Amino acid sequence: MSSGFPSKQQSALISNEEIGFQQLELQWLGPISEHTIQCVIQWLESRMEQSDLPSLQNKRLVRVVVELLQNLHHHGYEDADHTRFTIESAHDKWTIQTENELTTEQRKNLEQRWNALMQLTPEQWRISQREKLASGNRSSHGGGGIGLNEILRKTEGHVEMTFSNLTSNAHIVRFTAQIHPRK
Amino acid sequence: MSAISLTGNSKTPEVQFNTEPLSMAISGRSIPENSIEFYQPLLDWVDQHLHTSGASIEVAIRLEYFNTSSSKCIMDLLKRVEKSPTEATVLWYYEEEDEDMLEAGEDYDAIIDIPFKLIATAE
Repeated sequence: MSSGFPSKQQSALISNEEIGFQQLELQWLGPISEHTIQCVIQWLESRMEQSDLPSLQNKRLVRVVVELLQNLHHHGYEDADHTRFTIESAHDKWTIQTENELTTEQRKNLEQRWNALMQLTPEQWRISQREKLASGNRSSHGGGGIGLNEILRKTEGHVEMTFSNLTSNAHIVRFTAQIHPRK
Repeated sequence: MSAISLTGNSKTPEVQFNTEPLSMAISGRSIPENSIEFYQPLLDWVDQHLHTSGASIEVAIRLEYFNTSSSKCIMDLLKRVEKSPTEATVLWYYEEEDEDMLEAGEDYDAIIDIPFKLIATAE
């Protein structure tokens, strides 16, 4: 007797991962204020209570979202037309994507720092972050330039940074960060 | 200013700094937008109260999350404790599954010349 549900074999064939399905969990377009960040974090923590992610992955997801959102708040507020933030999930893999506008000079600076970090191993990301922490230097927002190290470490390197051009001096930077299940 | 007692919330940690006996405790989460504004009174407290040679203090840190600007402020706080004549010990608590918070404690321990105790707790 047929139950009306697909067989186990058929079910496996149409799993979310295999057809590349991602569940859109949250999307935000426009300015990111302190209140926005607070609301998103509260929503995320509530959402995590329903997820099967291990505790460490839950925390990493929140930590990465906090860093990316605060980055948008600091750098994307004035150019909010191009500020975007999305969270998607597919089984126990979570993807966070942010976009914001920046100038050519900011792009060069970011690319330079990013390319330098890409030359390092995960252990070197940690050493680099520790050295920046010990240096006492601070960015204008108080972070000391360790946000990229933090995001790379918490995602275990599952981060992409890409650019697109708006004008000759205006660009969009897109970060795609993923929290993968631990093997 | 003799004691600091702050209730934690969704962005800032609970803080209990006391003078009798001397103790410092920070717990919860620390993800404020403006970490410097939040931590400045705590830095001032250390300058004002940790000036006695021969005194001792335990600095208990039990954080669930902190953002990178808070990590700088925690470093500033520990550096001030390190420079004071008061003999300090840092008790760094982390949930046993949370290797990130363990690594953070190890990194502070590597930078700051104060005895650290890294203490695993059950979730």
